[in-house]
Amino acid sequence: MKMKKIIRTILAVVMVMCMLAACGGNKASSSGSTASADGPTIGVIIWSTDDGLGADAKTALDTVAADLGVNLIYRTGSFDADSQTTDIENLISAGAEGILICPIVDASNDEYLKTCEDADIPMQLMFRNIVDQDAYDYCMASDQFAGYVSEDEQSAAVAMVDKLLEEGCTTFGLVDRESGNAVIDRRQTGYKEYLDEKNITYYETITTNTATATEMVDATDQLLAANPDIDGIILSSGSNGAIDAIITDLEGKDIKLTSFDTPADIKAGFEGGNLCMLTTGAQIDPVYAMINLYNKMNDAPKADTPTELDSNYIYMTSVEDAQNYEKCFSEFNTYTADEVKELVDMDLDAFKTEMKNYSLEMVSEKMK
Amino acid sequence: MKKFVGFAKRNLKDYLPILALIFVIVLFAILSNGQTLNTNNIKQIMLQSCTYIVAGLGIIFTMSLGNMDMSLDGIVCLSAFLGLQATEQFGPWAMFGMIIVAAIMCELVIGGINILLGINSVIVSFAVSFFGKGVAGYIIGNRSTGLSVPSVFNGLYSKTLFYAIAIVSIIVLSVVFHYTKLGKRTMAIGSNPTAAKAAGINVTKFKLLAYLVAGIMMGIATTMIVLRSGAIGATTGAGFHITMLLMMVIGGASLTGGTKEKIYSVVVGVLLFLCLENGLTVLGADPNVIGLIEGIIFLASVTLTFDRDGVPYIL
Repeated sequence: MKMKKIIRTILAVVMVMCMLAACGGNKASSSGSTASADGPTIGVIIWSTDDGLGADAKTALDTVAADLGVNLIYRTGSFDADSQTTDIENLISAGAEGILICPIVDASNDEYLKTCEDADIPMQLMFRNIVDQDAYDYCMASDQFAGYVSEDEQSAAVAMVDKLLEEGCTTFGLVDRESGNAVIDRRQTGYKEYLDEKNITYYETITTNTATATEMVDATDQLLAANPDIDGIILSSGSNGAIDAIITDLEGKDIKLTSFDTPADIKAGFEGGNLCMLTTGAQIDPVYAMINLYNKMNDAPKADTPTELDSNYIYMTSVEDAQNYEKCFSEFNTYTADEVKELVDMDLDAFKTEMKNYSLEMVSEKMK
Repeated sequence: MKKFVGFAKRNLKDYLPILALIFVIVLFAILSNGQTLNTNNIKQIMLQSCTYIVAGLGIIFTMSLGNMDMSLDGIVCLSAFLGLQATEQFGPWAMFGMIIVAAIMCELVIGGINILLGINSVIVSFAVSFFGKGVAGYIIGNRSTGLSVPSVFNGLYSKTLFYAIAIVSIIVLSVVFHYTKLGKRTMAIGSNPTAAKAAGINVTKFKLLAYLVAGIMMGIATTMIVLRSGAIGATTGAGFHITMLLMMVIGGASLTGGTKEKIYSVVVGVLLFLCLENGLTVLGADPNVIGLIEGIIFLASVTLTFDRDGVPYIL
């Protein structure tokens, strides 16, 4: 009985201490940025800041935010529209003067924007365009929509198929996600249309958008067990550790893999022999998105209407590429503080041209 | 003084969540220099709380039976999907009816299997959760277009309407839970089903009625989620069951059911959770730290409020 009382007391004390400890942090330190406490605040809603791409995106955002004197507050782990709306509301309460969001439900973008409009603050999308026509029309007509930044998913998907063909693959396994995510939909449509055009046999397994790494491995194993002739796999989303888990799972099998997103250890991934191409480097996307939002927040938008921007992917196909990538991107080295300020001052055309220049070669060159 | 101390000792456990809510509100108000007490912020928290309160008011009925419901995410996903799918076949107004009917059916299936086959409600509700998410995910995954709320309902998402639904629900369900046969007998069954049966209570009937109430309230809550989101995807409702359970427990709801359940624990739990999340966001806490704190509070709440007398075989 005494022991139970002690445990209860300890838990109660831990609970209060944890709350006080968490409350002790200020906005700047919580975001990991060194931004000025007086600078504007941007609320960032992203799936996670722990997986490969999420962590890289946070590193890039924190660096650029510090250069611009912007405070960032992050919200992660919301996987439905209702929770993301709550995140927006809480960030507005926290003093966010702009919202940078990677939306989960494409057709809810107009609802997210309405919440921002009510608070009279702008919203910017990162990693996503808007497919739903009603949501697109609403957002593009809004004064509070800064715009979106997304990648050319279909071209990337075609490049991944070509790489597997170059490796001699004849039968493809597609580890896909359920539809509803605008970006992943375009990836999947891109490679399926290209495979159909080339008349190549493929089998598909569909996982949920919130599938864990273990669930993704299970789905891959089941696909391979049902179709033993598969010799090439395309993974449409390797986020939340899925890419790492599938690379490990394929070890020792004569199956080639191409994937979007970044494993924790890229070099080891290529050394394993299965991974032959990675489409990644998208951590630059939120940087361009934040700069565009920053312009809008400072009444100096890059255009009178919301901007629709394309950001480049980086392709890696070898251990050398991986080494080079890890050297270039272990920290955010793409732009110096002065260059970030130049990006802010650029007009839309110059900004778009700069975005087109982004590549592994460009960053390597800058590092020299 | 002695009387007061005695009263406090006897009732501390009951009022602990209310004290915790006051503590959280005051703490964050001080730490944020009053930012969390801003009128707009309070309105936002009240708005966010409406959906959870409505759902919780239904779930307290099944919890009072001693049955935990882990199907809420699947129910939200499936009923929201069926509701919006119905608008394509039968017109926009079919949405409301279909969502509520689907939610009721899900809850009755859980209750029915639990009663007829004697399978633990947690297991059955997990199965319904997987079924709901699976069916909705499969069909949504194969659609080429998204599922949005018909534009005729665009004006329905308003603070006034949500507040009204929540307040009416609190009043009606408080009366039903504490002052009608349904509520009292449900709690009696949760306390001791054998004794309840011996006392002449139709256990099957009242268990099913409890699930019916839960289904109706889940249907209304899902409708509110759909109106607020404007559209749905295969992830709609993700994590709803965990959040709801966390809210109920920190509000003081008993996991073992019985006569100790109180309607106010739903309201207090929802507000406590949302104030905590809102306060930590306002203070700029790292999102991972917020999750950690929620986990510790959940464990501490269960430890502090768990009714061991109700489950002597556990300890």
